[in-house]
Amino acid sequence: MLARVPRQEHPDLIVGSEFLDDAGVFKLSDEMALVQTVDFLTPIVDDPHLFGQIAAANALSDVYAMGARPVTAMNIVCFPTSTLDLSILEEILAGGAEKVGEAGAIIVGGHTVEDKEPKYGLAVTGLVSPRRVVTNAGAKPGDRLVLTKPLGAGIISTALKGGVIEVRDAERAWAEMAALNKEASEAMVEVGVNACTDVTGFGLLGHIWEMASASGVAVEVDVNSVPVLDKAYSLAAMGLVPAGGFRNRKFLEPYLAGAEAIPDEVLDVLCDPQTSGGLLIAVSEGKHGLLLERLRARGVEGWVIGTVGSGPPQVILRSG
Amino acid sequence: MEYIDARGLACPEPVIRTKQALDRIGHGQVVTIVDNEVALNNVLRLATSRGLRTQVEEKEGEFRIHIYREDLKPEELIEQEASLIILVKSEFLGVGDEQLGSLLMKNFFYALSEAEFNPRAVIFLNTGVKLSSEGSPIISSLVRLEQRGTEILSCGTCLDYYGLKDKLCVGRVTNIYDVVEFVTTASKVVSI
Repeated sequence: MLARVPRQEHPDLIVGSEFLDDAGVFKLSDEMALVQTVDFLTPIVDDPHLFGQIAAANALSDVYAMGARPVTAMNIVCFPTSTLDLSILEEILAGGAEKVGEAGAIIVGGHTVEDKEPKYGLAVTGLVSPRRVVTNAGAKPGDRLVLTKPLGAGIISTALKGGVIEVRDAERAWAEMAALNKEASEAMVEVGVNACTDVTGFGLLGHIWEMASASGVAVEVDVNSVPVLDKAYSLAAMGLVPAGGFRNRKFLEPYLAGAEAIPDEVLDVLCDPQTSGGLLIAVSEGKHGLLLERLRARGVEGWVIGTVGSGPPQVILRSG
Repeated sequence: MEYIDARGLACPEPVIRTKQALDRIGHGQVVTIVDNEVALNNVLRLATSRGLRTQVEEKEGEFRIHIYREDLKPEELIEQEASLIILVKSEFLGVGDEQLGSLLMKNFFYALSEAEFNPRAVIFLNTGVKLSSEGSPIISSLVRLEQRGTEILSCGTCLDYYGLKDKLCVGRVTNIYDVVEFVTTASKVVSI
């Protein structure tokens, strides 16, 4: 889609849209670069406060995935002021502001348009040293792949919408979606890693493929080590797979190897679109133990889910 | 037969409506009509996860998914089940190494609990009672069998003898008169 938009070129542009990365990065000086991103969502939970929190955590995540520190944010709101009570909007904004505050950033403005369905998100600006930008293009053969949140939130949300599970079955997924990737990002910056992206709409395998193709490497995923939310496999087997998950699978087919040996419901979970998913980090073999330790010290769990190999870009799936 | 017109409905609605129809009819056929591949895939997943046979007709971008609910057991099979008793005489399956015997017993009961066939009763005698008592490796298989209607019986004298009276985990205690009654009225007794 972006093919028809003229390619943006500038000597100080470090990461532009052609990289399919999480945020744009523009060098201000040798010491400082600007990180910019925008993301907004239709409601994925009924509770407006929680929706605000998740939408903000999701928007901030792109800055964290670049190894940067969010500084300012602006609200983007669509809202049907004539049919929905304004107190709902207040709750959404309060939830968002809470997360921006937790991130140590401030909200400096925003914009609202009238729309049939509510939508909320943020444009976030962050800062990073140009030498320490973490992109999705730096993964090297021998690296370990670390993931910081479990998968399955899309399937769980679909099942809840269909009334197949109870609210309490979705609470873990909600908590994960509302959790900031702040601590995970700070741990990875401390340790020094080779590549990072956050897991969102393209599902785990989609984002691994982006990293593999941007870095020019093959990635091997140990399917059994991937953390998955309770019930996600059985709900996928029941046919509660969101449309985005099927689209991801279809798109990824040519780039996957070993998929025929993986059960359908497992592939569904690996391709499940996530909202505010975890960070996917490629770290050298020598530093991966230290990264897991630093994550744990900050109260974040990290799972080693694969290794980076040499060879043409592809995603190789192994189980057992 | 029940028709579900799920055209124009977004996921997970087609799956939910099909599931409700399958639960409602007990047996027979549900035909779900959908207009996109995502819904088709999801409805097929649902049927496969329940072990049901399906058939899909495609016409002008629409899919008619026939789901056959034929999981009722034929009467002959139910009769055979009603007359089979399994007598378990020891905690080990077969004669030979005990570790192997224990593993074989565990696998046997796992397979039995997964099979479609439900025997009328499983009776544990002598060291066999260790299998229905605390610390047994086959408790979960026995619970499954019991849930499906198989009676799990353990010899009271034997439980006493091995000091397991308070340790029985599944089923109930029986005596030798009951055992005689069971084995003489059953048309088939399998002793292991």
